[in-house]
Amino acid sequence: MIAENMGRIHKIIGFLSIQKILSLWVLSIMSWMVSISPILRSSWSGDDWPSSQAPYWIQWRSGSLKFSEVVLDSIYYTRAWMFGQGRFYPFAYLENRIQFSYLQELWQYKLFQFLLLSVTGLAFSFLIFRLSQSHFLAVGVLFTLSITVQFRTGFDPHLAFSSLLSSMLLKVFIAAIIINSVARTSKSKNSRKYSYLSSLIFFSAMGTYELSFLLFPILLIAFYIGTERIQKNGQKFTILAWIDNALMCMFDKRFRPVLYAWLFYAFFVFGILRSIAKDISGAYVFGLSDKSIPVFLSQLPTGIPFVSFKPEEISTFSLRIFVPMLFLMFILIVVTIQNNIKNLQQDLVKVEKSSRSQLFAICLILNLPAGIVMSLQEIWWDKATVTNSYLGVILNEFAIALLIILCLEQIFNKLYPQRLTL
Amino acid sequence: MRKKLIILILILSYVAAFQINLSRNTLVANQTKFRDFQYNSWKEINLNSNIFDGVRERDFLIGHQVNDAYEYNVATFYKLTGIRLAYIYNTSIIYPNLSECMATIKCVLQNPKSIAILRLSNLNRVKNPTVEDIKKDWVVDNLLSGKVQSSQVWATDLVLMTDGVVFAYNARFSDKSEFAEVDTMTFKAVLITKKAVEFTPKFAGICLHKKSDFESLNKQNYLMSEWVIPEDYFINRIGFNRYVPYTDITLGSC
Repeated sequence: MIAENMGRIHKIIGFLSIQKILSLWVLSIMSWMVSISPILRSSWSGDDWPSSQAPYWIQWRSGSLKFSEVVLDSIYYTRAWMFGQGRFYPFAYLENRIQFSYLQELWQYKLFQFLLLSVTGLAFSFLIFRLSQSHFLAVGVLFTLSITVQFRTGFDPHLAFSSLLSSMLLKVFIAAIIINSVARTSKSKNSRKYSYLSSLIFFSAMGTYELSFLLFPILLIAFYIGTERIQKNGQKFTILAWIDNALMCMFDKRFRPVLYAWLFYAFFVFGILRSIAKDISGAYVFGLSDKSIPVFLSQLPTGIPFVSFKPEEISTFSLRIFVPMLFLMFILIVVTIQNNIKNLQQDLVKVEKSSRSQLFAICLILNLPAGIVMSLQEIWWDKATVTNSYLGVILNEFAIALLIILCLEQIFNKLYPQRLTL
Repeated sequence: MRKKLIILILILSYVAAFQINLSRNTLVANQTKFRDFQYNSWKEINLNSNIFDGVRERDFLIGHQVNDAYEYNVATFYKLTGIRLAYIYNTSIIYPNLSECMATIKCVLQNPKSIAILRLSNLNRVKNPTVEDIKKDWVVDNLLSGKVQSSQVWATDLVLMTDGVVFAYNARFSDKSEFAEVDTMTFKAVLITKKAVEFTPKFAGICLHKKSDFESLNKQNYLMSEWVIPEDYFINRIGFNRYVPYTDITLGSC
């Protein structure tokens, strides 16, 4: 079965022209980077105002901006949040202080913010490629991300908050890519080391922002798909079989370090820190009431293109400066797609039904955390709307981008049924 | 043919969506610049004006607009001027009941120096600080060394008067008075505008006089001018007291 599969992959690779695929990748990366390039035009925003002052405070207090002082300052605030609010994000503070201490000019910080989000999008695209083996989905997700990523006037994770969410997502995606590789190279001596590496990166993601705690299933799916590729047993996809196999994967010795990291975080933060915290207030006061339901529901569609737009903003769009560039882009896409249409047809065959279901599951996993967390936070009851969201909204944007491209892939499958003959 | 048409429509829709989203993201990104003028003005005042001449290390500054969360704070002051102050307090920290006091007929405020020294302990991060901590922590140094006893206290502010006009002043509190009184002889003020505008600032009911225009060295090419209390004000006013109660300090335009 494996040999047959490998033969098929070789056949497909042979068929695809690398240059043509490359042109699609280049175009999608360009599209993604252009779409988030307004970051470079923005100023300090949200928490970046006080955070950007941090290096000067360190200098004023300690007399210098030595690296040790930067680290000590981040430790001070990490401790304060741990024992005050019961929150644990040492990596967020460390990254925050390092960014603002060594990228003091606005343009330096904005360039970093732009590059980090760009790389996060690319990592997501690469993860989708690893899981689906489909250039169509991987390239497509970058195209769709370009229209689901929407900057917001309130709490915006793209323009502000020291790229906290980009950093967290990047770590989750890298951890998922690594654990997927571990699953695919079953007998390798290094697989254990890599699974520990994946668990460390995932733990650092949770130590960057708590939302990633809820993204654990993405790593499980990444591992599951990896093992599925080498243990293909020809079984028909069913939910029960999937759950059965997923549970087996969860306790697989190569996945266990990730599981332990997740459980340790849960025990440490929710078991210990929450119980000893002295000052829990504001957003970290959790509760559940009938008001939670509308809050949860209001956050589900936040990743849909244009959903955060306000009518008065639409009337003030300065479209004219973008028209020549977009005309060029239109021509480029048409030419590239025309040249690649056969390649895409061949590519679609590789997204198997089980992988597709799991990719839909990833959409769901990415789309739920923002709503879940906000619905439990009393300060958001009666306040959250589709246009009034919080930092987790970036997860919804990634989720909807993937969902759109998966739906488009289904449409392409209908348009080009000849793929079945392969 | 039909398939090609569908693909073409999909691409067209995508490009339109991309264009609208990009425009809107640009719009939101530009909206974040609303505070840039104040931010740059604070930088400009520290680097290129003389209003903080006379301010020494370990002095205290007090202002209504001081905000540690934004750029107007002691840390950026140190970065920009090289002068390491004891602290820049928001007025509400020194006089928490100021608005209630102002509502009464006779509102008299205590000299801020002793309060400013007392409030230093709120900034301390070190539990049971020792002499060794003096070297490591400026706040501990000020708390334990006793050097702040000889510090001066200044009344200051940086206020956005209208869109594109920032007024900033600095004047020393009297050391001798037991009340919060500002010495007008030490008064220095500067006006920063984005473009040439007719604007005459008013300080404590006195219309100020423009002393000089000077060039801004920043990229934004703001216009800067130095303002003083007119000399004839001192000459013509019978019984003029050079010390103005802090409660009388209001800012406006003439």
